Amino acid sequence: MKKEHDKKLTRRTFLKTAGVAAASLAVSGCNGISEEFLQSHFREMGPDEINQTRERLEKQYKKKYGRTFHLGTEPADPGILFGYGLDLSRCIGCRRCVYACVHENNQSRMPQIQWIRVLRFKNGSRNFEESDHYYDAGMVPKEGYYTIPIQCQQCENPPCVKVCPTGATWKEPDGIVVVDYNWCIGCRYCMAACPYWARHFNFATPHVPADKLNTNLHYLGNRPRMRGVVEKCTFCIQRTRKGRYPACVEVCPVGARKFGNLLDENSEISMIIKTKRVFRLKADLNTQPKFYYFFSL
Amino acid sequence: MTKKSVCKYTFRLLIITALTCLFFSGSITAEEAKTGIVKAGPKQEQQLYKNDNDTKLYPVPPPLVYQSLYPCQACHRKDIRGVNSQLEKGNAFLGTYIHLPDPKPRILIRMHRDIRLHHAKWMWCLNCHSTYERNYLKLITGERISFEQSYRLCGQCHGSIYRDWKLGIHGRRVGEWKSDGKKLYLLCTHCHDPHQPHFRKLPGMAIPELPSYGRWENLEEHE
Ligand code: HEC
Ligand code: HEC
Ligand code: HEC
Ligand code: HEC
Repeated sequence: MKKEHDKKLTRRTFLKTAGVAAASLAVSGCNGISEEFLQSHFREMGPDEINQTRERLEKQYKKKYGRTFHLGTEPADPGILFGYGLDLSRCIGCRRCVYACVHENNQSRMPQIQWIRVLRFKNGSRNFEESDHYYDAGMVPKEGYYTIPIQCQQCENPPCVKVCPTGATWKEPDGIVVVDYNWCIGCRYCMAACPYWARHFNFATPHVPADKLNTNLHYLGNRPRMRGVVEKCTFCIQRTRKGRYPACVEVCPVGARKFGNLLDENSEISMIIKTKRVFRLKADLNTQPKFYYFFSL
Repeated sequence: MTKKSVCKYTFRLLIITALTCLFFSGSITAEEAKTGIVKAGPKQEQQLYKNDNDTKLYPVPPPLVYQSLYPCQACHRKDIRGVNSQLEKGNAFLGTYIHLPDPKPRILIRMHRDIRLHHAKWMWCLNCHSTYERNYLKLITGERISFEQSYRLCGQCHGSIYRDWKLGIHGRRVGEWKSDGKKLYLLCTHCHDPHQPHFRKLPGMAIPELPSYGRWENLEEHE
């Protein structure tokens, strides 16, 4: 790796001394593109290549947005299987989670992409087709309604992964389903396969104001996306791989969102499964979500 | 009541209790069947909550009270307690702000007018606040606790919620998700005003935009 770095430097200095500034720019620009084009699949990269890619991307983001980014590539820790709990007897449908997620994960503001969708139902209705996620919240909770937020359910048996023709999306050992945006070709098969409406497509170049960007990135998570790729909730992989709660959990004003390790029997999520009534959305499809809805009352 | 009808009643009662015991405990162990004493509550629950230790302390973010009138004993001063009536008269001289503890339930007019109790009907300030050391809360046992431990106060009357709070099911935590990780437990009073604990309504946030698909392409070119 070091060798290549040196090579590049010498070439650059050579070109500079030769006084062909324009040519130098063109060459290094072209070089950047080809490097990205030739980049391997994340799971096939060795430690050196991962480091190289990280440095290249950090540099590229700095140039583009004028800010310093930290691009993490932490792998999954053994003995961890992430699970999520959502308390439907507390959720009031205020959408604070939606916007915390947008900010944390650098979702496009224009056109708008939101990974969390809050569905509102009339009391007594259990039909998803009658639910509304464009409701005007006003003051919440609103009498006569209840809400169910949906997002990626991190299936153990994910249909989206099965249909991907390029292997750009897969399930990590800690249970998070991730996307390597560089390998996504934008065919959107996964979006059709997902029964939870959890994947989102960048129809246009995503636009996030530079000062609103979260600079704590993860390669498989919230790094800036390009046009024509699919993105989804990653349980805030850039936070949870470092031990922190996902952003939506920390922001929920009613404390309806819970997160933890399913393999640890003292974790919050295990306690919920042990002591409360839990259910999973569309369990009959055998997707085996690791996203548990529960009632604490 | 005749002796016979009493017998009948006790017999019925016995049957009912036995049935309810059966219903709630699921299955009775051999030991329980022999002794006739059935332990209350589902087995699993007993195991889960066995080691509940009520004096365990949890790390919490600073209570909101520290941003308001704290320290309370600036006015509710201990040093005037039980001092001669001269000083008590001096109350007027020192203004309204030196206050002697007064356990009488009443409408407060000189101070704390913003505090209206909408908790249980019979609730009065000194069910929760220490009478002589206003910087503290007090438990039913008389034990004084600081505002950082207010969950113990609430837990006295809201046992099942307190239990859930300790397991991380009720309320919220911030920090690390690992069960032994570093985290802060939000106090009950971060979400519930202890004086009017019913959860207040919140303003909801913006409606998502309808999908715009291709229309943005043109806009980008104009930018
Ligand atoms: C600025 C001075 C001041 C401060 C600071 C203050 N109080 Fe008071 N407090 C008073 C006065 C005066 C009264 C009497 C009101 C009345 O009788 O109308 C009172 C009454 C009370 C009472 C009613 C019971 C009794 O003893 O009369 C409680 C309970 C109480 N205060 C709690 C607190 C707590 C808790 C704090 C700290 C968070 C606090 N106060 C801070 C001045 C103060
Ligand atoms: C259910 C128990 C309870 C009762 C009853 C109660 N308090 Fe409190 N009070 C608390 C707790 C707990 C806090 C600390 C809140 C915090 O940590 O933010 C508090 C805080 C306060 C504060 C400071 C914060 C604020 O809201 O201004 C004052 C003053 C106060 N109480 C006065 C009173 C008075 C006066 C009464 C009677 C009218 C009363 N309290 C009744 C539990 C109680
Ligand atoms: C001395 C017993 C007692 C203590 C201490 C106590 N509560 Fe309560 N609380 C009650 C009772 C009784 C009710 C039921 C009131 C009713 O339904 O009218 C209640 C009701 C509530 C409710 C439901 C209110 C509603 O209308 O939805 C909340 C929330 C609550 N308490 C929170 C707290 C918190 C937080 C604390 C600690 C600061 C606390 N309580 C301390 C006895 C207590
Ligand atoms: C993250 C905020 C949060 C914290 C912290 C919290 N609660 Fe609550 N609590 C709620 C919400 C939201 C509700 C639902 C209120 C409603 O439906 O009106 C609730 C409901 C309650 C109720 C009403 C009964 C019920 O189940 O609806 C009680 C009693 C209560 N809480 C007590 C407590 C106690 C005691 C603590 C501390 C040990 C505590 N809460 C901590 C948010 C919180």
